[in-house]
Amino acid sequence: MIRKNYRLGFLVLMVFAFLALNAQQRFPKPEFESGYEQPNTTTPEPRTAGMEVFDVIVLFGVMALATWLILKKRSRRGVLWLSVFTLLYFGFYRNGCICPIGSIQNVTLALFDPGYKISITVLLFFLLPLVFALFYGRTFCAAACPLGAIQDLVVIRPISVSSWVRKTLSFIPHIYIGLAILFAATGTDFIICRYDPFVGIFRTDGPYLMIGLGIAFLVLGMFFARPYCRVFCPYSVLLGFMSHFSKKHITITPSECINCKLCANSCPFDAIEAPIDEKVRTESTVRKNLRNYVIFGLLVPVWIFAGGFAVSKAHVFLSKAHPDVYLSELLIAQPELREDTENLDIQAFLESGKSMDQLVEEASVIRSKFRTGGWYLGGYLGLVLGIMLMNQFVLRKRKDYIPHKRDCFSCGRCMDYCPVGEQSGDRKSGIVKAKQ
Amino acid sequence: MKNKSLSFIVVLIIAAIIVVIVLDYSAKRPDRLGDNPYEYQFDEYKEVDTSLIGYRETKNFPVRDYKPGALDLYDNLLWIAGEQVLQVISLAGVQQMKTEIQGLPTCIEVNDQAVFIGFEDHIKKYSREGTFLAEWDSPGSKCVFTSLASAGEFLFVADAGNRRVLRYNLEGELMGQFEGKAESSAGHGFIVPSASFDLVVNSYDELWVVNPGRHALENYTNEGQLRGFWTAGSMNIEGFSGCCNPAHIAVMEDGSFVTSEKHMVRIKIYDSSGELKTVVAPPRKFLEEGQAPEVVVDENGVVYALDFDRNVIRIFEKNR
Repeated sequence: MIRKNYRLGFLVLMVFAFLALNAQQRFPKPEFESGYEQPNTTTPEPRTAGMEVFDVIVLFGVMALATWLILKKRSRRGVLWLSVFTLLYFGFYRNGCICPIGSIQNVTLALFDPGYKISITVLLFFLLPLVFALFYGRTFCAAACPLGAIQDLVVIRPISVSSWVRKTLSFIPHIYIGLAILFAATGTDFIICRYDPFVGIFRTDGPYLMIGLGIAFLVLGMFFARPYCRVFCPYSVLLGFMSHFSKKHITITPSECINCKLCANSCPFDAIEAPIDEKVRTESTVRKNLRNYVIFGLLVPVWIFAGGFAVSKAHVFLSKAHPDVYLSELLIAQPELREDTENLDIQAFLESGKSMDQLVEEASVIRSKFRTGGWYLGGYLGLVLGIMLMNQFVLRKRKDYIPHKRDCFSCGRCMDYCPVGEQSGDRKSGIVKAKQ
Repeated sequence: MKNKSLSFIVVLIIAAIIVVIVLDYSAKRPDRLGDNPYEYQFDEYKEVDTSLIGYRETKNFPVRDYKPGALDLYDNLLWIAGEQVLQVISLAGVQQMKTEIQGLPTCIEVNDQAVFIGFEDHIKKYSREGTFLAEWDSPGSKCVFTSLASAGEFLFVADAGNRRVLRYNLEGELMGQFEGKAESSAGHGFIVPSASFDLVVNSYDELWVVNPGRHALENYTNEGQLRGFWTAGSMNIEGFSGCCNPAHIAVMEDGSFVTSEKHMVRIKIYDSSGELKTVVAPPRKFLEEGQAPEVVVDENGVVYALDFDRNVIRIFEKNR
């Protein structure tokens, strides 16, 4: 039966490989002589519909396999090799596109612009990792994300940064996803794709700046592991939120924790929470923390309003990111630029047949959207800040070392280092292997 | 290993990355962009080695009072189909006939039986005296007829809108069609990004169709079987440039092809296997980024080019 399934799987793979080999562009690129530098596009060449479905199947397969390797097999080595496959397939072969991280923008634009449609494959790329995270934690980050994979492979000498630094930096992804959604919803830009630092490396032909940024991230990642995932990745906000509710998250030890701390030292992401000394939980501490928790809880609406007010006030500045808003202001301030035949943006506008009044009207509508969106973005950031501050006063009960469900990438290093083996009856004889 | 100074460096690097991204984003505004690094510089291709130019322009016939749409040469006469007008002039430029027709033609074919004039999605048949004979029904939606050529009892029609060649009999009955697809990789199918899609029939009644997206000339049987092809894609004078060239072709008595390209306008002659024989008119003879002239050629090898940008028929003769 298993052999039959293997054969069926092999057959399916061969069919898709054949389709891939025979895929052709509808219109080949015009001929360009050597010496001409072609612009880099933000998206690679289009795929056939069949191959897009194949990509979804591969993504699902990789995440399913990663989940099995992490939760059942408990194999760090398996996760490592799977992430190498991901790097090769979704990174270098698929050129890092489409990826679930960027799909946030496609989904957002589809929700806000009735004229923009996304395919079911894009939607699945967006949803599948979230569904897996909801049940099994961030197994997508472990082995199915090419951006995570390339950073994971360069971790050489990870350092542990201070808790306050980590917490401060963890606010950045919330700003990033908020801006990305605001920009996508207003049709301004897909900033996640534009500033994906590894796409240039995957395609080996990106702008120098982006390749430089990618290299900077990798060099930084040698010491501060997975910097993009931890400090920038907007999708990590969603994954972390879903993972927070996961029932079958990765566990460090297969049985009982012996508090050896090897796992905490092994985690390059500072994502393992240490046991909490019960002595800290004095009555006065509990009372004091509770009081602060309530005070900061009451302040949350204030943060939300203050954030919304501040960002909505910045809508004039933010809306300038939209090309139409910028162009309308530019042409009002400097009408002589209409004569600049070298300026492609201005010439494109003039040749579109649109009048200046129309442009200004459209810019005004966009700016209004930014004002409304600014309230939501600022309110969201205020809420996140408020919750982060409240969490400072939560006294948790924890006897063992456990992975932080939101921050843990499920990479499996900790379980590889855990000296506790599988239990078979006598719990006290759980130590079956030990590592340095 | 906790290290405060390392933490500080990490924060510093991350801050630097954010600053770089913000600066880069704000630098890419319409008034802050420098020179376009992707501007295609093709001035060097406009200059053609004079030793390659085997023709010279000897005279021209202005087309007055109407917008020309298509040109054909038959019976030592030039047949010009234009907006509301069918005009016939001799090779010396003397008007032989001028009659009214309806609409703006896109192509014309004259043979010993009739004059066939193609419009966007239909064909009208006239006698050689200019009498309207029949109008053929449109063969479907999205039609953009761009060229006509007759071979014996058939009239071939290039339909750029549907990327196909239609085969009619001379009475207007649709006998077949093909899209240039074959099992070999050569038979990709017609790639027609714009309304530039020409076909000709040579003196041996062989049908040649331009596959503009491939910069190819393809030889088909009447039924649409690919028999042979040649391609010449290049910005250099030896090939065809851009998205969809050659935009127009004509065939000479010996099977050579006169080709006309748009954007970087140039007229050249290739032998039947695709080797460049000579240049008729280099780019500097035309407007920059101009339209491709419709070309026809007489039995003496004189090339007549309908220059749409200047509304003139330009005559190019071989250098002595």
